[in-house]
Order: sequence, then C-alpha cells, then structure tokens
Amino acid sequence: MDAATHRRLLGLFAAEAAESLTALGETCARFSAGPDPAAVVEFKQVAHGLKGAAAALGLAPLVDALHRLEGLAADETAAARARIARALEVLGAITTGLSVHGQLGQSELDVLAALVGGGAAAPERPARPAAPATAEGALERLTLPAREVDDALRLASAVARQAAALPDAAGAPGVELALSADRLEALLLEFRMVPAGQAFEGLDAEVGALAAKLGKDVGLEVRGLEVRVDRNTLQFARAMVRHLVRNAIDHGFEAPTDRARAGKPARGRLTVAAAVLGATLEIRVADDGAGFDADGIRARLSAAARDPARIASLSDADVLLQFAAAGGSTRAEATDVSGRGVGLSAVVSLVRSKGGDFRLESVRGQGSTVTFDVPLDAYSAEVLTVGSGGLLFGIPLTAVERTLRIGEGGVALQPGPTGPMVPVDEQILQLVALPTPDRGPAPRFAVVVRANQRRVALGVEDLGDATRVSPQRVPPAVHPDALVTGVALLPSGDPLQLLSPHLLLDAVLPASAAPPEAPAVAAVPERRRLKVLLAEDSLSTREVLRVLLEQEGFVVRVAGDGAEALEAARREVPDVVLSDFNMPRCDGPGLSRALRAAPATARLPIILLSSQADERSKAAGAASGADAYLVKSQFNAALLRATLRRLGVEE
Amino acid sequence: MKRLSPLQVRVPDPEPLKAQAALLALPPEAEDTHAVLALVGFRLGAHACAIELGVVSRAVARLGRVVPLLGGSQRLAGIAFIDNVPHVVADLWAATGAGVRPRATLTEAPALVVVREGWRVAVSVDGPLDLLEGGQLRATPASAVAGLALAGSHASGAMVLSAAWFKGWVEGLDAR
Repeated sequence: MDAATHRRLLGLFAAEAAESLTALGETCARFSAGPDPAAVVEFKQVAHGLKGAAAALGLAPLVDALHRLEGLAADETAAARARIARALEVLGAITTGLSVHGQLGQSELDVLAALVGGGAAAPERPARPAAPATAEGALERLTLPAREVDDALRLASAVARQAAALPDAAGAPGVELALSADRLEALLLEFRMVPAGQAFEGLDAEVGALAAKLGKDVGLEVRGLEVRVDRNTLQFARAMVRHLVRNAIDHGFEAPTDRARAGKPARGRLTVAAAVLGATLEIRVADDGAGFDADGIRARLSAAARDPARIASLSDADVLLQFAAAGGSTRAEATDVSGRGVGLSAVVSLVRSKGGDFRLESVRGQGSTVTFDVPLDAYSAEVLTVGSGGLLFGIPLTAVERTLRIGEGGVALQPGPTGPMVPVDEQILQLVALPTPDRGPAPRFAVVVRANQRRVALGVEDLGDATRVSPQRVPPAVHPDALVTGVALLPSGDPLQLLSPHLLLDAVLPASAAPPEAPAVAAVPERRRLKVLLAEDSLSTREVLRVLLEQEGFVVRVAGDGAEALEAARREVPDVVLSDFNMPRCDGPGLSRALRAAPATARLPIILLSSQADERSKAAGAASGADAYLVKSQFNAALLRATLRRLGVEE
Repeated sequence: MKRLSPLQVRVPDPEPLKAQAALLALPPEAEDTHAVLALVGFRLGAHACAIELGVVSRAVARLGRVVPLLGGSQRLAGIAFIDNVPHVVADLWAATGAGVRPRATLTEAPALVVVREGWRVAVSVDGPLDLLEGGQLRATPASAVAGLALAGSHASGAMVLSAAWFKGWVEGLDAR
C-alpha cells in the first residue's frame, strides 16, 4: 500500500473513531445511569466495530485495548463505569494523535492498558467543571452561518487533496501535514452534520392542519430522527418530503367516511422514515390511502405510447415510475394544496438531478410508498477519474462496475447494429462516448457504468485513479441539461466534472434500451478477475480491504451491511462473498443464511471475516452455511487466494 | 398584384432574444443618469467600455482555463475556477449577437465577477482592465455596439453600460 493511500486510510479511521467514541460515550452514559442491558449490547457492538477497523489497519495495541474494553462493559460496578469513561477520553487522545502523527502514542497506550486491563491504577484526571449557566457559559458555543462552514470545508478539502499529493520526498513533515489536513477536513465535515429530526420539526402540525383543511384525518409517524445527515442533503430531503406529504394528504388519503366504507380506520396513517444506507440517505413516505390504479394508468400510457406492447410488458412499479416521471395526473382539476394531479415529476427530476434514485410502489385500496435516496454527503465523493475529449470527468465509484482495456491485451470490440459493442462477461454492452464538444482519439478503455439497473460501457481515452473529491454544485438553472452534478478541482489544478450516472445513462441510451438482456457472446481471452462482494460496515475497514483486494487484481463491489450485500448479490451474483461477521441490520451469518436460501446464490462461496477467533463465532458461521471463517488480524490476499483455491474457486 | 406572404424568421431558441429585447426596451432608469463613484473600465474589441464598480464583486485580469460543461447550455462558455471556486462563464460578446468566443480566447481574457444567489458568474470581456474615477456621466449616446444598453459616457470616452441592463443580462442567463 502506498504512503498516500495509507495516510488517507488513517484519516478515515480517525474520523470513524471520533464517531464511534461519541456513540460509546453516549451508551456508556446510559448504562452508567442505571441498568440498561440494551445499552451494554450497543456499546459492545460499537467497540467491536472499531476494533475491526483498527485490526484492518494493523493497530494491534488498539485492537487489544478495545477487546478488553468490550469485556469491561459487562462489569456493572461504579469503578468499572468510571474506568470506561476515562478510557474513552484516552482513546480520543490516541486517535487524535494518530491522525496528526501517523502513529500511536505509547504513553497514552500505557494509560489505556492500565484502564481497561485492570492493571495499575489509572491516573486520575481532574474533574471537568460543569458548564456555567452564565454569559461565560454561552460563550462556549459559537453560532456560525452554515455558508462559512461550507467555505472552510472547501478550503480544508483543497488543502487535504494537495497535501495527499505531496511527494514522498516531503518526508515526515509532509505526512504530518497530510494527516492534519485529513483530520481538519473530517472535523469540518462533522460540523455540517445535523440530526434528521431537525428537518422534520413541525411536520406533524403541518400534516394535521392540512388534513383538517381537506376534511381528512391523518396521523403522522416519523422514524429515523436520530440519523445524522449532511445539512444540505437534509434540506433537500425536507423539501421533497413536504411535497410528497402534501400530495399524499391531498390525493392519497380518502375522506374518513370513505375509509370506513372500505373497512379502514377513519384515521389514515402517514409514515416518513429516514435511514442511512451506505453512502446514501434513503427517505420513505408511505400512506395507507387509496393507492394508484396501476391498470388504469397502464391503459392510459398504452393509448398514448408509440409502442403499446412495451408498456404492456412493464411491471406495475415501472408503469408507476414512468407515469410519475412524465408528470402524470390522476386529477382533472388543480388544487391549491398540491397543484394538478400527482405532480411527482418534480420530485423524480430533482432526485435524479442529485444523482439519486426514485421508486414508487402502490397497491390499489391499500396505499402507496414513495422511496427516494440521495447521496449522503455531497461534499465528499469517491470517483474514478477518466479523460475524454480533452476533458476530465469523475464517475462515482458506486456506479463503476469494472474497467476494461480495449484492443491489444484487452477486449476486442464487436460490431453492433448501433455501433461498437464490448463483451463484458457473458454480455455485450453498447460502447458509448461522452458527448464532449471536441472528439478525442479512439477510446482505449471501457468503463462499465451501472445505474437504475442499466449498464453501459463508456469509452474513454484515459483512465485515472480512484480519488476523493469535494465537488461543488453546478447551478441547475444555468445548465439545466448538464450531465454533471458538480465540479471539482484536482490537486493538479485540473478541473473535473462529476458525472451523474443516472443522467448519463438517460442521455446515451435510448429509452427503449432499458434494460434488455444482451445476447451471449463467446468468451474473450482475458485473465479472469474474480468479482468479490465485500460487506463491511466500518468505512475504514472496508476501504482497507477494498484497496488490498483491488491491488491484488480482484474486482470489488462494496456493501455497508448484510442487507445491502444481499441486494447487490441479487442484482449480480459475484464469484465470492467476503463478509464481516458483526454488522447492523443484517450480520454476516444472516447474510449467509439469506444467500443460501435463494437458488441463484445457494452455492455461492461465502467467507466470513471477524476480529473474533473464538469457537462459538466459528460455529455460528458454519451453522449459517458459510464456507470459511477468517480472522481479520491474519487476513491478507495470499490467505484469501489459498482459501478460494480450497473452495474450488478458480481465477 | 400578388401579395407576398410575411417574412418569417425561425430562431432555434427565441427566449434569449426575447429577454434581450425586453431589456433594451426598458426606459432609461434614473440611476443611470446619476453620478457614479467609480467605474471599472474594459474593452470590447475596439470599443472602450465601463461599468459601475458596485455592480461587480471583483474583476480578474486573466480568467484561466474555461471548461465546457458536458451537456451544458450553448449560450455559456462553461465553467472556470477562480481561487478554487467554480464560476459560470458568460461572454459579454454574446450580448452583441456575436456569439460566444472560442474558449482559448476567454482563457486569456479578463472577467468581471457577479455574485448571484448561491453561484457566481464570470463575465468575460477584453482587457486591459482599468479603474476609472466616477463623476457625472455625459448624456447617453446611441450605443456604438449593438445589443448593449448604455447609461452614458465617461470623460475618458468610455461607453458606460447601464447597470440595470447589465444586471438583467446576467440574471437572464438562466432563461431557457
């Protein structure tokens, strides 16, 4: 691993540790206040996750201390609670030092060992005075315009990118500068995060007033209030949610008498749920109202379509999506609440312009659910840089499936009815070019981009590195048809345009091209690169493993937990699943059981990774149907290859 | 006598022309005849021009690399970074009906920066830039450059653009 990557991963770990320590402090406060078994379990899970991240980076002393800290949580004595609280403070100092100096401070480690190991008495720390409830106390907090924080973050990001690009000859001062810059960027990024609850404040009153005005009775339930989200993302989500809520009350819910006739409770139920899934914020707005008449909408679309057979072949969900995106209307008259008809097209368009996705499900008579997601953090995107037509573009890594060299030593292009095609595994994909003003030379690489379950091979002249950028928004009013969602400046000074995979595929693929199964072609001679689906909830561990595996030639797709991995495996079956043991929502054994239960993945090689080497965990892994169980601290590419050979997986 | 059918001119995108016509049809505003404190001078080809300093947030002597935005509006040159901040680039030549100049030309040209809500516009002009003392403007002459509305002329001979027109032109950049 090169020095710049290692620096970046240490920065990620420090940022993740800061979050974890905050969570640990909060859970510690809960079980210190009184018996709270749930808090103890949560504490252990967070500590375990941080331990895994530390193990991935080879920070053995931290791994050991965190392991002991997990055990200490079971001790209900006041002395143990005090030691935990103090240990968390020392851990904070250690991770701060790590981000600044790039190494663990031995003196702090000694203190930590004493605290969690039950050895020498822990040094006492003077009690922190309580914050005075005076004007002086008020001065402890600052209120800043959010724009200034954004500007500071932008500058910090620029410094971090430039520092990361310092040559190795810069030596230790360069490393320190890069780590400090990463830490500063992470700190400022944290300033932008606000709990989702802030965005939904007052929504219940708004719902009540609007429902009363329309003679309806609607109760609101909001879930996920504690989720912390980038302020800009949340502002956007709030605007979309208000629009959807107004539409649901106006058009979705029936009057109480109609509901009673339909056997429903007089009071309608409206649910707004926020959740963070990987790098996206997912918002769900569900109602138990009348639902959409999918058959009627299908008939209307068919009557207006040039190709009615295609409309007939669409699923109900696709019919509703097409209807919503096209500005479909279920009403002849506009209302002063939500305008004419459903009016979902604005939400669809805005969500897609942010690089997000939109889904609409509905059952006639039972209600509708609108789900949309948007990138969680618009200020930090990991992209693959590509060059085309003399310009540089960034494609979000989450949308990049793989890259291929075209021509000598790579894949051969095949003639197709609409232009060249590229064989990708068992499929051939259309090779498309970016519509740049200046045409460049023939493409030398193909980047397989996926969005909305469509794939395309994007021909580019140059293929750069995966890099993290802080894009700035392109004013949509000025460039309404732009295929980019932001622009950023690379450390080299070159401007980079951040492509929106959704807009790109819409622009380069004809509507009828979605998503046909391409015919099979003969295998092209190329060394097969194994596709690994990596499920890991810790960002820094995930990054360490991804870098490690990609350096070894594996094609890696990542998932933030078992549920995400299961969805990814259903979309495309990988060659092997490498999964963390403990994860939220769906853990490794749960993922293993779910994969074994589905015919398409029943025989898929599954390897569980854990920082625990105990027999009980191994037995749980085996019982779930996993093929192998590896310990994180011993994990490396050679061990993975040996395990894969043993499982009969050939490259 | 055979009547000729009325001549019809088809314009692919009439909105910018409509917006331009509306701006030019505005009666001169009182502010344009007032004394001004200071002006920033520039050139548009052979013509010496100026605009009230208060209208622009800054002026840069060299715009730097201008990048066309993929799928972006053809009426704009693209995006340029000034001090790490992206600016939408508009060419004042386009207001005269001459179209946007080549990006290579804009890269070396100076620009006047106007801040709009949430984003910035770099209006490309010709150099050199100059700071002119204000004072009472002379009576508004007929504009020597088609498409530009004037507030008057400066003692130096520079045509002083109408501040209201200039702001309206920048605001109109997002007209589809």
